[in-house]
Amino acid sequence: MFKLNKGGMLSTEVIQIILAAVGAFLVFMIFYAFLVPDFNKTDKTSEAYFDIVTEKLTAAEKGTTQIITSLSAQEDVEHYLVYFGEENFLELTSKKIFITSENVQNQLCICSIDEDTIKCDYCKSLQKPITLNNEILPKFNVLVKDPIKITFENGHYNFKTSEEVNEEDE
Amino acid sequence: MKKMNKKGDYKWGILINLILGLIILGISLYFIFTEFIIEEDINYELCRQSVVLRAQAIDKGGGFFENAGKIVAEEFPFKCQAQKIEIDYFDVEKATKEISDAIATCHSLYGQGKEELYSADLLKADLKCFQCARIHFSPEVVNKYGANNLEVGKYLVSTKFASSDATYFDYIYWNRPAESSREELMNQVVTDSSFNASNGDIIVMNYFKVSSALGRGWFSVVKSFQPEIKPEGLSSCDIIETIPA
Repeated sequence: MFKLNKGGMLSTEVIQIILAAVGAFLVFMIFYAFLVPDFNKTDKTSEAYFDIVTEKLTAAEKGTTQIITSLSAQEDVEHYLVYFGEENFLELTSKKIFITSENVQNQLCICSIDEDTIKCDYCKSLQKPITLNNEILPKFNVLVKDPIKITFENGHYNFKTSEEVNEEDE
Repeated sequence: MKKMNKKGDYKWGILINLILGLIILGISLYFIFTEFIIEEDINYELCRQSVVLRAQAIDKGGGFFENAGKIVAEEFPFKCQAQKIEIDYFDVEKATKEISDAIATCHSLYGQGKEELYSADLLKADLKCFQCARIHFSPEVVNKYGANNLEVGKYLVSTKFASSDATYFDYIYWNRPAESSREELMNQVVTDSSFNASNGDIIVMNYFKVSSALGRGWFSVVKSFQPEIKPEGLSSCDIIETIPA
């Protein structure tokens, strides 16, 4: 246990000082965590897109057409909607590979690519699969830039990219 | 031996008291932060501070190296996130007021058009955008609003702002470009700011046009639009500085 000054334990004062220091440190950390919030723009943007996509998927299930629009435009940062149907990785290029930590089917992730990192931290496991422009694909990615239409029909979600929408209009 | 046990018990007593004290302090702080300090308030203050800091830094860049100083000042980042406003009730007047307040708050947050936030561009003046709010209608109420358009523009031009004699319109658009008259701008605001809930989310955006060396000076203006109807509201931005919501 504790060491005495004259017999093997530490004095009460020393313990009090140590505990007081630990307490003060904890209080400081709590205040710091609350008053100086971490501000990682890329991460917060991914989180925001994830919340938006979750909201739109839920609304689409009720039979309405939903649209995801790009609400961010950062320099050197790109956000992707990535669907991992059967595998938990997707090669964008040989050097850019999206990977999710979980290896389950029908995962939809918001992935970001900036100068240093490729991240897929915000993922949602879906009960139903997603098709892209009515095409069944084992995995796909869509850059969050132009509007993406989301519908839910015949037991699956369908993402329609703007090029496809424009072609239909023509 | 007996004496020593008593001493040990005494120390353990202090230790337990201190631990209990820390736990109570932790619970109290948690309660204070969760009940009285709302994340939205922290986000607003964090953003406001970053805007003020940026404006101050830009303002201080003067003298021979004025523009170089302003370019350095642009290293002060904006720490702003848009606010998500959920309309999950059916009350046309209340919803119109909530949207109008969001527009006024946006104008206030980014310096009311009085603060310069960027250095001048050399040739092409960029359009920098700050998304202030995304107003989302819950699926349950979208149909209830149905044909009831939210006439936010009419509300802005006709309603007194806070306790002043000025209207929302006067507060938000006091720094309108000289070439457009008050009446013209009022008509434009009334026409542009009429929303139907079935057309999707409403975005409240603050646009900051950077001054260019060859062109006009800088200005900022707040606009609200529905991207499904007016996608150019987003696509016209060269950069969106805020985190979406």
